Amino acid sequence: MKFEVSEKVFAFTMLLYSQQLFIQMFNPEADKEWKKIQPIVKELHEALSEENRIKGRNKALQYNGQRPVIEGFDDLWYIMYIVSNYRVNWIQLGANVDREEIKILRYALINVAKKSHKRYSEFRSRHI
Amino acid sequence: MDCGEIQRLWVKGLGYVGDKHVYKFKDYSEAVFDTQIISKTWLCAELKKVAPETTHISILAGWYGLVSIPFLYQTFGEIDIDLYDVDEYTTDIASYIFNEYPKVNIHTQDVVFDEIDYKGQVIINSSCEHMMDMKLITKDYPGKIFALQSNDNRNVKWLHINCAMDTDELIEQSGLTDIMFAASKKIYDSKRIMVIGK
Repeated sequence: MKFEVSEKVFAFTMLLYSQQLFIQMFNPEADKEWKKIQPIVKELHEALSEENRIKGRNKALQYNGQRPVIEGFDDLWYIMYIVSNYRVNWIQLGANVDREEIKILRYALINVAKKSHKRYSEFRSRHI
Repeated sequence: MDCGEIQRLWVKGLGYVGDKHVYKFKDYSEAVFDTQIISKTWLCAELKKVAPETTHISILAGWYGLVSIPFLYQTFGEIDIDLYDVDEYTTDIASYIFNEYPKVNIHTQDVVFDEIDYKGQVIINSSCEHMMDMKLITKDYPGKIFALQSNDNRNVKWLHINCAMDTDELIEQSGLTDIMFAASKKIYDSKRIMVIGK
């Protein structure tokens, strides 16, 4: 059995997240938004490590059908795996999470899980 | 097509984008979007039928090459690939991504205005809608196979300056006379058009 992160889930997640990050953190002052976004992109990159991918895949193989909880970027591979391979349409935010960039990521993932990578043409849903 | 290598390369490049070109993050994220996957899968499948022995390909206006290069490798093996793009930041990122692919060469050149000697047996341009008619290039390479894609989406202001509405229009723009393949396919809300020929 193939158990991978769907190319659509991966692409929609990254595209929606990058769009929302730039929109939500827009700052007209020269170079300010880059300074805010740069550490987030670096952290995202570190969280998407091969080690985390394997951990996320193994955890996803044990998925019990409960609503997944996002605590930080380290959960991203896991959530992309379960959205790709199971019927998941909601992601909970960890109770103690107050970082704006994780909230934005959660909204992007909910959007992807609910509809973005699926085709509901009969409902005229948008595809970004 | 297997997209695992695309995801691996994308993550690799993301570190470099974060360090050196963070303003490119959104552009970079668009480069592995679904439409790229579908259109390059189609291109590789049809190109393999008409030019199965290809060993050297030139890609014009190739952006980061994140989808095209891995798919061409899956289709033809480890061939020589020359990728050209006008944006020096894009090619800087692409050079980093493909620094472990010794047969891939990334060039910062403008395929519209620079004089370039394309070495590939096959020349790919999957973004013909972004530039002048390809006949201005094909006329200089009568023996080479061109694989060209365009689309009918005129709603992308400033960028989609030369769309084609159907295969006939893309053939006319291309100046190709020996047509080996021509078809169109609906991808989301737009029509993707492909012509392969000499």
